[in-house]
Amino acid sequence: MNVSLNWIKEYVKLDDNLEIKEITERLTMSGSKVEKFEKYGTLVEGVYTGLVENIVKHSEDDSFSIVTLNLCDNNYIAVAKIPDIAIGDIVPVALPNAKILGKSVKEDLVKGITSQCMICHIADLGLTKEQFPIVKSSGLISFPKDVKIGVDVSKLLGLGDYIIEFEITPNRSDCLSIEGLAREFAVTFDLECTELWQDKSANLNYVNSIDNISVKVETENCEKYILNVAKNIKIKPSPFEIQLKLMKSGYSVINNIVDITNFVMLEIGQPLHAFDRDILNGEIKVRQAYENEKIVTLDKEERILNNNNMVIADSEKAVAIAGVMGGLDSAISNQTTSVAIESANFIRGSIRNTSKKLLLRTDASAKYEKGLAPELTEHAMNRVCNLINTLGIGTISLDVVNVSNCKQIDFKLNVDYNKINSIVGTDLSISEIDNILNKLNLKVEGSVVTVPYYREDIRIIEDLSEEIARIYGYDKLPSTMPNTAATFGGRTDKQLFEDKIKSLSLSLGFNEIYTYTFFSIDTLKKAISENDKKLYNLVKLENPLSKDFEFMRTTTIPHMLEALERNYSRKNDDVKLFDLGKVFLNAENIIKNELCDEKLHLTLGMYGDNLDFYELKDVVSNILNSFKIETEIVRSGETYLHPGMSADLLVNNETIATIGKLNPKIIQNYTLPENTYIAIIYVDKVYENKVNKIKYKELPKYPTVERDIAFVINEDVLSGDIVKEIKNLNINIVENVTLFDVYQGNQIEMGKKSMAYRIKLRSNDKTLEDTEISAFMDSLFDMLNSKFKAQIRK
Amino acid sequence: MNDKLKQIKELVELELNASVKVEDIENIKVKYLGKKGEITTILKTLGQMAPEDRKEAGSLINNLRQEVESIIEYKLKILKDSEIDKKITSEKIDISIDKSNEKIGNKHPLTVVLDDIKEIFIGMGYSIAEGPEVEYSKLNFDALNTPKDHPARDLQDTFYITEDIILRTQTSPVQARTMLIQEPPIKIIVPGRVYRSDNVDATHSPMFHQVEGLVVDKNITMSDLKGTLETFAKTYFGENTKIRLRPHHFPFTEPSAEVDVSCFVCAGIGCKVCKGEGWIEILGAGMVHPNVLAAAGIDSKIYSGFAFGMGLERIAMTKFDINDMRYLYENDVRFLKQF
Repeated sequence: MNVSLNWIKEYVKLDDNLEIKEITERLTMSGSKVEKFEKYGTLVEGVYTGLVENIVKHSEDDSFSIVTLNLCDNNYIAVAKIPDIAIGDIVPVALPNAKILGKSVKEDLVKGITSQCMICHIADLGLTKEQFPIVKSSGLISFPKDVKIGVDVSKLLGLGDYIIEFEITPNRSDCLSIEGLAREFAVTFDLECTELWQDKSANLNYVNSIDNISVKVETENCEKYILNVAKNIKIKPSPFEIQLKLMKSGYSVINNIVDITNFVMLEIGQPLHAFDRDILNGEIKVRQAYENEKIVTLDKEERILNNNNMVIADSEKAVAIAGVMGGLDSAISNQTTSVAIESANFIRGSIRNTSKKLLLRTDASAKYEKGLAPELTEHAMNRVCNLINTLGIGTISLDVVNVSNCKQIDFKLNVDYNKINSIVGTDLSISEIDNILNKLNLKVEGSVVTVPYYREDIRIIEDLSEEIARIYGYDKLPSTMPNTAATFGGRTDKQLFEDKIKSLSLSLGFNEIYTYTFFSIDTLKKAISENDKKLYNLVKLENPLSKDFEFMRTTTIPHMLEALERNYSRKNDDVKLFDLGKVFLNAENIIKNELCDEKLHLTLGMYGDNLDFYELKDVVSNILNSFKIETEIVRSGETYLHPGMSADLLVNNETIATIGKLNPKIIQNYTLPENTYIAIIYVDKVYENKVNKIKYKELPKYPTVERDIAFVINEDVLSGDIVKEIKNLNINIVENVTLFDVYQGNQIEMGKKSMAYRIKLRSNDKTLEDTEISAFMDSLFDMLNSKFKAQIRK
Repeated sequence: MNDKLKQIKELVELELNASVKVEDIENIKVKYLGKKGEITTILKTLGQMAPEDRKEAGSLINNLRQEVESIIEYKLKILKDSEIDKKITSEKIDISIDKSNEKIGNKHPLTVVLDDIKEIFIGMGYSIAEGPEVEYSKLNFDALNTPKDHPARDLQDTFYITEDIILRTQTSPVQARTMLIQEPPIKIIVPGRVYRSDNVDATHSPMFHQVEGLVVDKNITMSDLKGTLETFAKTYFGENTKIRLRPHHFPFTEPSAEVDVSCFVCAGIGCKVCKGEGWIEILGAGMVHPNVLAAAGIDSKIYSGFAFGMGLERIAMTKFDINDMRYLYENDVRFLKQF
C-alpha cells in the first residue's frame, strides 16, 4: 500500500521537523511495516501556475515558441522549445529569482528575445512520468482546468512529499486505507486523529428500490449490499486534488466517477463499483454464476464462470464478477449520465477463490480477500454521496437500497490485566494499559473493552496483549530466559547416528550436496529402467511448478548423476559427492489418505581416472564397519549399474547397500566419464542393524603362524567364496585370510586365474604345533580341490 | 706416574683432534680404554704398587679414565651430529608439491549453518524433533490456526498432492505433532525441508529449509522469547549482536513479531549485506496462539509457549555473502569446498 505522507498529515498533525527516517522507523516498530519510501518531487520556490494565452513561433527558428503567460493580471513572456504546448494550457512557470533544484532562475536572452520566465519541465520539479502520469509527451505539465492561475506549484503538488510503501499484514485489512493508517500514525506518535468530513452514514435512508432498481441477494457469499444512484452526471476529469492523490497512490486517473470510487476505496478501504445506470435492466441480483456463464470484463477479456463464482446481475445477465471486476457493457463511458454505485461486503473466501481460479487479482479483490468490516459499506457510501454533492458531479440523495445478511453488533471483551502482563512478560499498571487501549479507540468501561468495528482482528485477550505490547514497544520488553522445568536436550540415538553417517562420508573424502526432492518423469527415465516398477510408483503433485518438479523422488540416483554431470561438464576433476536425503515410497498410501513412506538414503557418487569399484566398496565397508555391521556380498541386479561390476551388500538377505560402476548404457544418457561409480546405503536399514552392544574380547596370547598359498582356479570363482570356505574349515584357528595376488595372462590357461592368499592361523588356547598346521593345510588343499577344482601351485 | 698420565691425556686429545670419522674415534677408544688399552694396562699395574701409593695412584688413573671417556664421547657426539646434519642437508625436498587431492570432504553450507544452530539450542536444553515432508494439510494449516480461506494460506503457496495431503509449507506441523504426543515442558527445535510453489530465482526456491523452535510450559512470556532469541543471536552472530522485535502477524502466534539482528558485517551502520538498513531480518516469532495449543490438547489457561522460525538459506546467504540461492543446489565442488 502506497501512501502520501501529506495525505496522512491532513488527519494527523505530525511535527514538520520529524525526519522521514524517524517517522518510518517508529511506524515499523509499532507494527505498520514500511517497505520503502520515496520522495515526491523537490521543493521549488517562485514557481506558479500560468495560463498560456498566446504562442508565436520564433521567426528564425520555428522550433522555439514565444509564449505569453498570464499569472493573475501580470503577463510574462517565455521563449521555450516545447513542441506540444497549446493555448489554454495551465503550466508551471518559474518567475525571475525562482529557486529550482538549487539554482536561481534569471531573465535570459533566448535566440535574441528576452525570456522573462521559464516554463518548467516535469524534471525541474524533481518528478518522473511514473509519479505524474498526466503529463504531455514533451514533459510539460498541463494542469486540469480547475486549477487556478497564480498558485504556488510547490504547494499545489505537495512537492517534497514522501510516498511510503507499507507492508500490511493480512489481519489488518483496516490499514489498507488512509483512514486506517492515519489512526496508526496517531497512536504511534501519540497525536489526535482528526475527522476530515462528517460521517452521516447514520442518516442514510433505507428504501426498497432506488430509481426503480431493487436488489436481491441470493447467495450467502454476500453479507451486505448497498446501492445508490447518482443522476445528472457529466463525465469529465475529476478535480485536480483528487487526481493528485490518486497519482501519488499509484492509481490511474480516468474520469470523475471512476476516480471517486477509487478515491473512496483508498481513503476508507471499501471497494466500490459504478455501473452505467441506463445499461442496467430491471433489478440487481447478487447470485452465484451459472455453469459456463460468460462475461466480458473491463479488461476486455471474456471470462467463463461457474457456480463457485459470484456475480452481480441484472434481470438479463451478469454485469460484474462480484468483488473482482466489473463488466465491460455496464462500464462508465463518456455518454453516461446516471450511475448506480455499489458498496458491498462479500465473504473473503469466495472472492479469494474466484480471483485465484480466474487469475484475476484487482485492488478490490485484494481487499475483499483480507476480510472487510461490513460497517465500511455505509461509511463509504456516505462518503460517495458527500463527494458527489460537494464536488458538484451530480445529484445523489441519502436514500439507498440496503440488503444485509449480517448482524452488526459491537464486540466486547473482558480485559484481564494480569493475563496481559503474563503473556507479554511485563508489569504494567491498569492505568498504563487503559491508556494504551484508549489511544487505540478501544474504549474501556469497568474492565470491559468495546472493540471498534474496523478491528475485527481483536477477539481474544492474546490479541489485546499484542496491542499493548506493540504500543508499549517491543523494544522496551525485558529480556528473560524461560523458567521451565529442566529438560533433557540433545540428539536422539537416530539423530546421532545420522550425524555419524555424515561425518564418515566427509572423512572418506566425499563432499556433501543438497538436491531437490522432486523430479520429472524424464529425469527418472534417464537413469532408471521403466521395468523397475517400485521406483515408478510415484507421489504426484497436483499443482507442480512445471514438469521438472512433478513427482516426489523415489530414488536419489538421477539427481546424483546430474550433480556429477554438472561438475564433469565444468571440468572439475576427480569428484566425490554424497547426498543424505529422503526418498518417498509407497505412493499407494496416498489413495487411502495416508502418508507415503519417507526413507533416508545415503547416495555416494564419484568419477575420476584412478577410481575403481574396490575404492567405493572400501568406502561403503568402512561406513558399515563403523556400525559393526557384517554383510554378505552378491552380484547386484540393479539395471543402472554395470552387471559385472556391481554388488549388493546383504544383512539377513536384505540389501543394506548397493555399489557399482554406472552401466555404460546409462552413461550414454549423460555427459559423464566411463569411470563413474554410485553407491546407495539404505540408512534406515543400517540403523536397524547396527550393533549397539559391544563386549570386549581378550587380546590373543599365543603367536600367529602365516602360510601363503597360490592356486589356479576358474575365473568365475569369487574370492569372497574362497575366503568364506577357508574360514569355515576351522573357524577356531583361521584368524585372517588375505588375497595378495590375482593374475591372468601368459602361463595361465584361458578362462582361469591364479590367486594367492596369506592365511593367518592362531589358537586362543595354545601355541599351534607343526602337526596341527600341516593337518590344516592338507585339509585346505583337499577343500580347494574338491570345492573349487583348484590346481595348487607349489 | 702423574707425568705419564698427563702425557696419555695429551696424546688422546691430539689423536682425537686429528680424527674425522666415527671409526677413527672408535679405534682410539679401543686403543686407550679397551681391554688391552693403555689406560686399562696401567690400571692393571696398580696391584703391584705399594699399598700406601695405591690409593692415590688409583684415583689418579680413574680420573684420567673418566676424563678420556668423556672427551671421546663428546667428540663422538659432535661427529655423529655432523654426519646427521650432512644427511639432513642432502635430504631437502620441494615442500610445495601436492601429491594427491585433498582426502576430506566438505559439509554443505546449509549443514554448516544448521549444525551451529543445533549446537546452540541443544546447549540450552532443546531436543531436536523431526517429521514428514509429505504432510496432512490439517497439521500444516488447521492445527496451526490457519483454516481454509484464511488469507495467510495465500502467503504460502502450497504444493498439493490431494486436497488433504500436501508438501509441508513450514516445519510447524512437527510442532503440532510434538504437542499432540508430549506433555509440557516442551523445548524443541525442528529443522527440515519445506516447500512452497515459488519459481527458482536468485532468492527463491520451491524447496528450502527452516529451523523452528517451540517452548511450552507454565509462565512462558514474550520476554522469555526475546531473551532466548537474544542469547541465540549473540552466540551465533557474535557477542555484540543486538536484536530487534517488530510487530507482525502470523496465524499461529499472538502476539507475533519479526526479528532482526544488527548487521554482523557493519555492526548496524549500514552496508551492502544489510542493504543500508543496519538490520537483517532473520526470524519470525511469537507466543503460541491459544487455538494452536487447544488443537494439540494443551490447556492454554495453564500453559503458554513461544515459537520461532528461521530460514536456513537466508542465514547461510547473509553469513557467507552468497548472492544467488541457486548456487546452494548446483553442487559444484568448487563452491562446496569453500565451506
